[in-house]
Amino acid sequence: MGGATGLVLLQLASFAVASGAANAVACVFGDAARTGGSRFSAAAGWGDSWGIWGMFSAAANSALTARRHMHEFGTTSLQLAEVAVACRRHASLNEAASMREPITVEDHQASRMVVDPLRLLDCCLISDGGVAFIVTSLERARALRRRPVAVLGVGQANSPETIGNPAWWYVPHQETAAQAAYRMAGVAPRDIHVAQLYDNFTISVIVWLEHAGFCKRGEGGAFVEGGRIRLGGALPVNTAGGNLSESYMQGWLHIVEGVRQLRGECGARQVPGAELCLVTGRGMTLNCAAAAVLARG
Amino acid sequence: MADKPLPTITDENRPFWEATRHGELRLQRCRQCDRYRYPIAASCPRCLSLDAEWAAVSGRGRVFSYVVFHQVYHQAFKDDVPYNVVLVRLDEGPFMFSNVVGVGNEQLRCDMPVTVVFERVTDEVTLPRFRPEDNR
Ligand SMILES: [Zn+2]
Repeated sequence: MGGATGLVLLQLASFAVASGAANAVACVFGDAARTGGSRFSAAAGWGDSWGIWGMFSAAANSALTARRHMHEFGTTSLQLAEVAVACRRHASLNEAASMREPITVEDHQASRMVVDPLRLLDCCLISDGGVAFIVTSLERARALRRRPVAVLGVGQANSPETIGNPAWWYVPHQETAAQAAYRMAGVAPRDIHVAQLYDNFTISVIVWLEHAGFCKRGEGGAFVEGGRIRLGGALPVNTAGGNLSESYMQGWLHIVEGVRQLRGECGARQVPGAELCLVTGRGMTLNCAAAAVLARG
Repeated sequence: MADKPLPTITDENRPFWEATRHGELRLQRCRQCDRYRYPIAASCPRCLSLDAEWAAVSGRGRVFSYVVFHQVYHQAFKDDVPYNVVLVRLDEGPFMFSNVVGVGNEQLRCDMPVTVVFERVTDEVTLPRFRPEDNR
């Protein structure tokens, strides 16, 4: 399920523990996309039909979303830059991040076009690495040395259609996934202190802000202005640097960063008083979405 | 250098490619709910009926969204960059990927009206592309 996989496994593992089917579940991810050769430039979509017109790459799908978002709502490349700058600033405070050199909006605007309207600094990294997390009962976790983090709510939603669905470009199933997670957790967007939003491309953060209810449809571009998603802002997003600047572990590190923030382990990038974190993921072209609400245990 | 991708013609999609070869855009239309559909599929995504006919469409639509490739993802497109790919919404409802020809990339706009043109690529394959349509 691509970039939704980590959260989907978190959901399955939580259910397995809650049902008594398992005492503890290790969820494990590894990838060698950087040294092993990226697979992300293949014909976008399924079958051979899109490459006929030169439609390749995950970047192009998100570029289509960005262009339509710009057209309908007035979103700008400068607003996309805000997302890239915030993620890089956060990565600069994360010793484990791959890209720590701070960037400016001007750097973003000067970076080369990849698939217009997306520039190089709108795109996530391609990385080697591994991630694991362990899910067990809260009771069991409380007996361990580290502060536990509770999985309050999880949700996933998937679309079997691509362009056959007129709303496909806007990935409406993301909203369904986020709402399911909020409902199970019994919390609302205004309760969230910090968010780890899937950022394969900058535009994805803007769309997730809308789908996760932090602003209304079309307002994501304005939301990211004025440092609102930076540390110290109203809703710090991707506090470790995200897929854009920490490492492209396909969203798995978003879960890890959620856990670290709620444990208060983040040092210079710690969000003070963080008790609730929303984590989101999205994968398989635009078709799989998942979300989780994590809480300080 | 690798050739550009061509469609794999199957029993399911042959009517589409035979129609374009003859300068016509035909899509599947569900006989149960009358909706046109694309991508080509065995069943209707709305009512699941397997009963469909191939019906000619107007070839007119609007650019829903568009992108311009600067990155070369496939070597056969190396000399084409920067080239556009558009998502066209046909007047009959379905969306399809294509390219807009006869206009500079900088003149592309969302919602601009377009109409189909046919470009022969091989003896077997003629690609539907679109050109801007004025006065709409
Ligand atoms: Zn039907």
